[in-house]
Amino acid sequence: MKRRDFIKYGAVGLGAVSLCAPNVFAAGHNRRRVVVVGGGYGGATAARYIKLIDSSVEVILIEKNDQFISCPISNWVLVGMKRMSDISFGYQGLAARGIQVIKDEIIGIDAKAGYVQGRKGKVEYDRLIVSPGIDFRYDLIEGFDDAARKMFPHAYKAGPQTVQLQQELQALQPGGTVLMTVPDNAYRCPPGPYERASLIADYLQKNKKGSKLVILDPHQKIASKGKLFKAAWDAYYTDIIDYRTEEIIASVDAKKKTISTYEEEFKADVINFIPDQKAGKLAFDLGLIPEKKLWAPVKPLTLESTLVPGVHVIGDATDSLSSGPMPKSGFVANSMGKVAAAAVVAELSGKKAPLPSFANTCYSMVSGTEAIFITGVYKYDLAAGKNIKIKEASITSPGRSAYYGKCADDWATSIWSDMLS
Amino acid sequence: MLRVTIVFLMMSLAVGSVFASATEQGDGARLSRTCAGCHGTDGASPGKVIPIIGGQVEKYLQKTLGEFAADKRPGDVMRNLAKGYSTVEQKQITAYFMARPWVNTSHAVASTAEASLVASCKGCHGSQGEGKGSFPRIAGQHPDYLYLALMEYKQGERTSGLMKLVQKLDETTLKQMAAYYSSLN
Ligand SMILES: Cc1cc2nc3c(=O)[nH]c(=O)nc-3n(C[C@H](O)[C@H](O)[C@H](O)COP(=O)(O)OP(=O)(O)OC[C@H]3O[C@@H](n4cnc5c(N)ncnc54)[C@H](O)[C@@H]3O)c2cc1C
Ligand code: HEC
Ligand code: HEC
Repeated sequence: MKRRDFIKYGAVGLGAVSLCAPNVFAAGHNRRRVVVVGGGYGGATAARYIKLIDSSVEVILIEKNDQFISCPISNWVLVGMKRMSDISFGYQGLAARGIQVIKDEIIGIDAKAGYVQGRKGKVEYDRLIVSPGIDFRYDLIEGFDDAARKMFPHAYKAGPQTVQLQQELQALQPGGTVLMTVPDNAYRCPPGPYERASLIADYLQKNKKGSKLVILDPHQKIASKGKLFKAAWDAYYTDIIDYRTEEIIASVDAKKKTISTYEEEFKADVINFIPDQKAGKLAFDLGLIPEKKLWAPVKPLTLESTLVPGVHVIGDATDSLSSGPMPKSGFVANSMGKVAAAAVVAELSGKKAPLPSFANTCYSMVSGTEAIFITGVYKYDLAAGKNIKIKEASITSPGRSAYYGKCADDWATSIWSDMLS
Repeated sequence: MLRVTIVFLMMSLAVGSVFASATEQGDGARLSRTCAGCHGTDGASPGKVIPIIGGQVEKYLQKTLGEFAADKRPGDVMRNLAKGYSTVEQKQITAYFMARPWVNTSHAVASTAEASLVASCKGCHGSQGEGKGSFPRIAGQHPDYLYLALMEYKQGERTSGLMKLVQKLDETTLKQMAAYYSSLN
């Protein structure tokens, strides 16, 4: 393994950034540096678990934002059940573990030389883990210019758009109309749009008498936990939710504030447009996505890219045909971060990566207090050579309950501490 | 955690490659990592109703996991998830959690109750609620969780001959007991 040199950054002027020379490991056997790009569910977990598994490995986490803002629980923020400050966290916990946290946006790679290029500098690595999340396919829809992106927030990456949508809902007059679109497969958090619809309906019922929620869904039926969502909607929101299936949006018009399918034009006071999705731009920039594809293929055992050796891809950006039948969820990204961490630590020491083990649980609120859930356990099948779902472990809750709602809150507290503390 | 790290270091000095073969310890860690999503890193659950399992007595962990998997115990997510692991894997997982340090709840409810309140519990759960044998640790567990568990025994949802004594106790007493044990270390 050739000696890695320094992180080529000038005085970037960030409190959390430690610029101590990696030459501390010049003694030879310890020259193992893992760079993790993207400090979300996958990346923060991977960085933390590398240190937990082997604290002698040097870990650098590169993230373009100042703070981690959680998508899970951001639907709660939209309707005032939580505040932005409840879902926003710094990276000081990871820094305290000896992980160097650098704020930069990575835009390129030289995999042969072994470095990534950021807007501000470059960083060499022995192993790279990337967890870029998703980006939106605005190009599929006519008229989605900058004005339209402002007019029709997605609020599907937690941040300023979460605040915008929350404020628009708050400003809605009683008797108004909210419209939201559901993305087509594959998208992050399959039950996410339906949880949002449930919470918005609950909010309208309590605060905006006579208001309606129109949902335009390209699927033939609710795409996740369908029976459970439907049961809750039938019980609570029949006079609020107008749920329409097989609706494909063709165009939007920011000037008229309308969105149109091939047959019909829709107007509403608040429009939440969640577009179709693809792997985050970073995955494309680093050459991790095959021509004409949208997601990154990986080896099922180690989550190493099949296109660029030495680079592991985790989280939403992975192609589930290769990684396994796991949904694109924060829980799975957290699982994947641990699998990649264990694989990288083993391989850096010249050992075989341990077998992977993944799980998922997605709680979804169906009202201000009640939740439903779906679980999943996934393992590597030696005979099949891929990750498979254990059917008996992968089912939904029998119904909805306020106890599950409390568990959902606990889950978030738990997974945030498992990523960032 | 610290203890394990030191053991690993010594082993790697001695034999060089600890991870090369899939040791039981290794599998336990590998399989247990997904549990952290809800139970916190190493089972030190920071929430309020999802129980702390790191440092829990091994026999009880084994019993509960086995019963969840066999649909013999009330549970929700756990009845699903436990079915994802073979009996051997369940043993590896419980051996892992048993060996983690117990981290007390951060939601302990201050209790003014006299120790006599829980005189009838000590014989099984230990003088400080620390657990032993197949009797679970209840000291330092989340108060909300303890109360929910006690109510499940009271209402007969959890069937345990040995816990029948709580059926005679009223809810206020059970709440006081939950508070009392949550604040014991
Ligand atoms: C409304 C909503 C509700 C959800 N609810 C749940 C839920 O209840 N349970 C659940 O399990 N999942 C839920 N999810 C899904 C979950 O948010 C995602 O699956 C998870 O965030 C995926 O993790 P990731 O690491 O792949 O991506 P992210 O968490 O999005 O992390 C990507 C990170 O990479 C950074 N980044 C990207 N490009 C660069 C670059 N070029 N340079 C540097 N940094 C970069 C980003 O800033 C970001 O911090 C929900 C999602 C939404 C939108
Ligand atoms: C989605 C959240 C979630 C995940 C993931 C999860 N648990 Fe649980 N666990 C719970 C909840 C909630 C309970 C309480 C029982 C119930 O509601 O099912 C519980 C209870 C338990 C108990 C009983 C503790 C007691 O004191 O009685 C054990 C043991 C346990 N879990 C072990 C595990 C193991 C091992 C894993 C990983 C394989 C795991 N759990 C993963 C949420 C979770
Ligand atoms: C005769 C022995 C015995 C006595 C006395 C006893 N317990 Fe228990 N307790 C048990 C056993 C065994 C279990 C596990 C049973 C099971 O599998 O559900 C248990 C379980 C529990 C649990 C659930 C723990 C968990 O993690 O879910 C709580 C809480 C508890 N006991 C509290 C008490 C209290 C409070 C008292 C006194 C009023 C008491 N117990 C008296 C044997 C006893």
